[in-house]
Amino acid sequence: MSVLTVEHLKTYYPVIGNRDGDVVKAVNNLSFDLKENQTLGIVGESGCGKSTLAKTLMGLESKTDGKIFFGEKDSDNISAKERYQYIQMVFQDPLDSLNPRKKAWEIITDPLMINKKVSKNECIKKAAELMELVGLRSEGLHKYPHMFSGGQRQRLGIARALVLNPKVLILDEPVSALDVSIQAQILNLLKDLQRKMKLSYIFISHDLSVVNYIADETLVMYLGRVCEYGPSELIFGKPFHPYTKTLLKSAHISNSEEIKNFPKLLDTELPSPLNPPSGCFFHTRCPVAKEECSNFAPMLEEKKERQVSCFLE
Amino acid sequence: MNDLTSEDIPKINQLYLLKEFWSHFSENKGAVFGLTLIITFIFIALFAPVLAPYGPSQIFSDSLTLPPFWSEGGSSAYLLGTDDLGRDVLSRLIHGARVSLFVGVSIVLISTIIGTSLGLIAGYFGGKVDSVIMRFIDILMAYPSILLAIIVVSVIGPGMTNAIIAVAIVNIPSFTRLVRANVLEVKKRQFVMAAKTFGASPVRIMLKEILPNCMATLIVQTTLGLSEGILSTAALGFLGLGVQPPTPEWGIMLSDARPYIESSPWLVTLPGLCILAVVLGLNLFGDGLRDALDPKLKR
Repeated sequence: MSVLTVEHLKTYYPVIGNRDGDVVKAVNNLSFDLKENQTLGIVGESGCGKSTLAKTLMGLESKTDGKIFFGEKDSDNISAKERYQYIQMVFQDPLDSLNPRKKAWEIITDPLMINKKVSKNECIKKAAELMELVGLRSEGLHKYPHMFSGGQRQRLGIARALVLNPKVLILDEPVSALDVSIQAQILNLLKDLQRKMKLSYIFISHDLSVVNYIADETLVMYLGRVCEYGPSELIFGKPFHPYTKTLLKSAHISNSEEIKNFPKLLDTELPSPLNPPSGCFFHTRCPVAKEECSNFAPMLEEKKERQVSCFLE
Repeated sequence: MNDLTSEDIPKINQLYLLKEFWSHFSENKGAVFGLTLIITFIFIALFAPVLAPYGPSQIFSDSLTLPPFWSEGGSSAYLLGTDDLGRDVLSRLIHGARVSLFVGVSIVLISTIIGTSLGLIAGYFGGKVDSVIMRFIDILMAYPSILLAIIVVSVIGPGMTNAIIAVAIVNIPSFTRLVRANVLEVKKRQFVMAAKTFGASPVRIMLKEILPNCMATLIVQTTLGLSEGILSTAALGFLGLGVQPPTPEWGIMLSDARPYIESSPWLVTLPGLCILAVVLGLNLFGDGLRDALDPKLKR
């Protein structure tokens, strides 16, 4: 069953000080489908629109076009309150995303206090339950965020995201600010919680090994567009798009000779999203680009059991 | 998930929190000294009629400009001497504590509430709202503060209430600018965005997320504003535009004694020392409070 369906989603930002109506197409025609109890990994370089996608799904940015369905319900016909209770978010930097002036229990139950009528005692009880659930001791209820370690803080962030019992969690680089040993603990916690609470995750990251570990499906984004989207074992095992291949090559996680010997990027700089290249957005850096790539944009097509936008066969 | 009974959850103990705060605060000796000074003055102000040996406006025409008791010619009946009209300086100082603290607190209350609200709104909403508020603040700041106070008083007339209003208006810009700068910094942080993701209203975000993170600087500014308010009111009194004689206000006592600065120096020194002590106490206390309230500095 789908819990989140996105169809041709577009989020454009107007360019400030430009009267020609120019826009930055931060998210450009994105479609995907998230099933219950599944994890969708979204990877791409910084500036490719991952965070804009997260904000658009959360309703912090308004979409320019396209549809978002929360289960059966269209996001246009859903109240803000319903949305908060359906989808919640965990942020990258756990220290920055927790108010340093609030105690742990206040942080965790803030969404509850805003959206429901609850007494202080109920809040503290609920916070204690959630802390237990994410592996924190309830002695920490009255501590401030700086008194916790990095991993514990991220557990607090996860507890806060769970307090409204959402169906979908957006995890925006949830482990990239943490030590490697702590990363594993948090990832395992997320897997546990998914099983216990039937959660679905959108896992945004630039760390391919982490996505490979946690995601059932993976979507590779480039300048707001989809490069490749399909089951993780296919994307990581038999990548098709040259961009996916260069990402895997630079992450040093693939053992395949093809990936290791794949040619380098032509240009290390990401083109400006303000003035994207013609044709296929990737052709300026693509080591295997042909002439047609600079003139025509490839459509997103089903190739080898996944969706790809590339002219290669 | 384990079922938790209410006994498992640590209860909030207000007394414990207070003890914790005090243990942090008392580490700073200067702050404790400041607090002692302030408490002393508050005590004096509250019990002025009991503590003062005479009424503040009671005139003893047979003992004009007597020096304090330890000087030659001083009398133990008037411990700190008398002024040019034969009023007991000690009694006037004690009653003056009342006036000065009342005036200072009123000024700070008004200017903090207005200044902070304007700063929060300007910083949080930005854009046109910000421009309008900050240009208004710029206009206020374009005038030298005492000149602006004089302008306001000449429009609404002299007197204690009007002096409070005038000085409060003059003090608004420093609060607004301080809070706005703080808000601009804090609102970029992720916990503000997080609050939006679960539907916190702008007012809630401003008051519960942003404002507590501005408290440290705001508290220091409040204590400074209190001392500044006391000084500005004294200056207005000096110019005859503030609190009107014979109200025993320290600023007025200071200015009244100006002609006698060489012949009777205690008349200038004593009110000056009182102002100094209150201002010093407030500043020391403010610093200590800031350190004790900042959770990051706690061990």
